[in-house]
Amino acid sequence: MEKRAADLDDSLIRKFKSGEEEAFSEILGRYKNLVLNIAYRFLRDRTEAEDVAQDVFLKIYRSARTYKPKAKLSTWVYKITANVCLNRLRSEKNAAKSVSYDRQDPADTGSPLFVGSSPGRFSPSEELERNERLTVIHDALQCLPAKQRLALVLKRYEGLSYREIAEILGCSPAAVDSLLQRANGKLRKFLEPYFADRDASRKGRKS
Amino acid sequence: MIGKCRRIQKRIPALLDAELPPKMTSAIKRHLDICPDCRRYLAATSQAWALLAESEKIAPRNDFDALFWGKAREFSIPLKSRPGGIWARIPIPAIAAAGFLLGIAGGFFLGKVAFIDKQAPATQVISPPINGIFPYLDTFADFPKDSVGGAYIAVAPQSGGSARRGGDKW
Repeated sequence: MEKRAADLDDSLIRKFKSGEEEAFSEILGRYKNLVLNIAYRFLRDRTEAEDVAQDVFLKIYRSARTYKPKAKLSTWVYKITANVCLNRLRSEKNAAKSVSYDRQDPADTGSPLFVGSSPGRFSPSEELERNERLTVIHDALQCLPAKQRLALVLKRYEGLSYREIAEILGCSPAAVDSLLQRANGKLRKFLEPYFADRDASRKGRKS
Repeated sequence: MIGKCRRIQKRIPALLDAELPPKMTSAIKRHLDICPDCRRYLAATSQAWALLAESEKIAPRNDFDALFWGKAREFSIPLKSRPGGIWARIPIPAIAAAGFLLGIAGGFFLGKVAFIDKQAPATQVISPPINGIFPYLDTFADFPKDSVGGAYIAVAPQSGGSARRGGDKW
């Protein structure tokens, strides 16, 4: 299955290199969800995630004609996404240093943080609880340093192996292991009070 | 036991990710069978991951592709036919940097020329006195008698200096 996907990617890139623009439409269709969601989980902002996704595809479009397949296309896409995300965060930090602005909570601005939540699927209390959970998840991810967060997103949401993450981040699998160890430790500590509260309220409801 | 537990707990994420060698996996599993603390740690990690998995995916905007192709087409227009041509594509910081470098190079050149000029008098050889008189004082000889220079030359020998008498030509 994976091999077939890689073969398809190869043939698409080859077609695009030979001048078939439509082949890139297919590449875009295959990877836009993946790129957008990595960026979204990493940056926590939908608008920025869309921007990053556009940047990533423009970079791919610009360099695809000279691209020499040393690894799978997906690895290349992940690598570009990771770099653009890290650069975005870096420039955001620099901008925050020079211009002080308070980043608003997306939940307050009405930005579609929880896209896909279909109204009517849950009762109001369930919806509330669910939104609280999603906020906790996003906050938990934001408490991690950039590289740890990226490694965690690639592992937990993309299911990549340590070796693949290492290739994307340009480090050794042992370094990825260490990044994930630290990320998991911080995550567990961050989520502990949330779980304790949740368990206490569940027990309260039962009694 | 605590040190061992700490080491085991560090390996638990890798264990759950099935990234450990089989030998280590079985050793950790044996430890988990007998250690309630590490089992709790394992449960908490799984719980955190389960919560993370609840994060929903977002879908790209409807005009995502159109927006991309708009930008991509702008990129594929040949450089010369873009409005403003090549000059419009050169970023302002690059122009500023080029100007700065030119300024430094020009300043260096001019500074070198000025330096040579300043250094030139210092390299003059001071001639030794001839008969107790410094020959370069001869420059005063051209002053007319009534001028300030001539007056100095007339006064200098009276104050015990070794300059020659009067404003006469030497």
